[in-house]
Amino acid sequence: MKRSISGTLPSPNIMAAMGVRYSTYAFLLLSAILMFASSFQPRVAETVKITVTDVLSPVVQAISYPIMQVTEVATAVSNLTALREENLRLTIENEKLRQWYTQALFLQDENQNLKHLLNLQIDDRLSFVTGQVLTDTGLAYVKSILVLSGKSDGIGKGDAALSGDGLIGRVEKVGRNVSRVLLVNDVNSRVPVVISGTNYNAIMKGTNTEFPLLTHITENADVQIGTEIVTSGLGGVFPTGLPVGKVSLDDNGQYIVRLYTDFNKLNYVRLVQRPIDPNLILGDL
Amino acid sequence: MKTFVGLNDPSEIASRFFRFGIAVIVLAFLVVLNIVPYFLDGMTGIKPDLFLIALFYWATHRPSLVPLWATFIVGLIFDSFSGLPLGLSSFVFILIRKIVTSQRNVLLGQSHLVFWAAFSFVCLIMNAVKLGVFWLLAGYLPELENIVFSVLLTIAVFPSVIMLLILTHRYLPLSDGEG
Repeated sequence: MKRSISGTLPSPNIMAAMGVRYSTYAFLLLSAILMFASSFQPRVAETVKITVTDVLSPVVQAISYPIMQVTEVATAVSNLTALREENLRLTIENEKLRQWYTQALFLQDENQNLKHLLNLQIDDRLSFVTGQVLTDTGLAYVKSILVLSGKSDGIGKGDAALSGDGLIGRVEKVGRNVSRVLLVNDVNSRVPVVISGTNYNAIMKGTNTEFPLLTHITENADVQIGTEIVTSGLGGVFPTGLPVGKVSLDDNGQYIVRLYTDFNKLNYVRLVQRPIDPNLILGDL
Repeated sequence: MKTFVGLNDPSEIASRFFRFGIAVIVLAFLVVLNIVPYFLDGMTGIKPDLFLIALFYWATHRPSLVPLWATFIVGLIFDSFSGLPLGLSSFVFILIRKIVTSQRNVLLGQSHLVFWAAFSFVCLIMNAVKLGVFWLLAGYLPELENIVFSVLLTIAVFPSVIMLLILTHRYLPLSDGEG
């Protein structure tokens, strides 16, 4: 072992200890710089984050698969007891749906005839991709999820994200194989909506709680509790008519939205491609 | 001066490598468990911080298993997956590592109950710091209910995770200057 010169220099052990101490402060400083840099340059930070998730997503996906299977089996076993009641409920529901199906066929036919009469040209075919939810780690702080679909699947920034029940958010950042979806209840989320069956437009504003607020409602609007809320399509971010939730009132008398989606059961989501804004299509001139 | 018996023996080197490997794999598994969703009813946003438990245990008993650079990188991975400001988790983890390693002599040899109480205190501090820094950077406070439940869940699962870590610790080869 080397000795310090004439004992005037600190011994290697002390030097090593000082090195450890300094490197702790150096890493703390580096973390602090990164934090502030990501606040001032969020775009760069988001690119770094989505690249990291892109690289590590196969590992996380491989490990989450058995967890998902175990949870599904556990849920299935716990549901076995309620199977009889569930079967009865589904039989009644099926009867009702058959009646609705007949009615829907009639309405579809009528709708097509009316469109034909008006010579209405609407391309309402929306393409979508289904992706597995990769992580919900930050839900306590940031209401966003990672979905295993990215640029390689044709996903783009601003695409709407839906569960089986309704709208859940929009794609905020896209990686090659992973996308980050900002949920509608995040404090940074604003969704233009319309109260179904009326022309009352409103903005659904995320509050980081279970129930987003309904703001900027058309003046003197007669809003009925329990009425359905759908996307209005204003602003061109979301397609028109995506189901969102129902109108409700909070304890302060403010209008809130009871979302159709239960975020606890979000295993897979559908990413609907953003509608093409006719004003942004290149002309032939 | 310490001497290592049998380190020239390839089988002994392989055994040491294997035993260290198990500890690292358990640590990596806890990191990934922190990231993946559990799909449990009523548990959205509520998740135990398993890496924090491992960090606390190894920073006390074997700091070389959680080197600074690795702690920093795990923090960056957490931030990337969770959408938190980049560097926030790294900052908090390194801070916790610094506090715990500086108190190693006090923590080593304490009863399980005292060790658990010390962890609970550190867990509260960590979340308070994280919350404060997040508020400074984002300009708003997140939903406190989920964070409080996550902290309580982390403290509640501490003994069971510690048992797993103690098992891997027993399997680890002795190291120079560490327990």
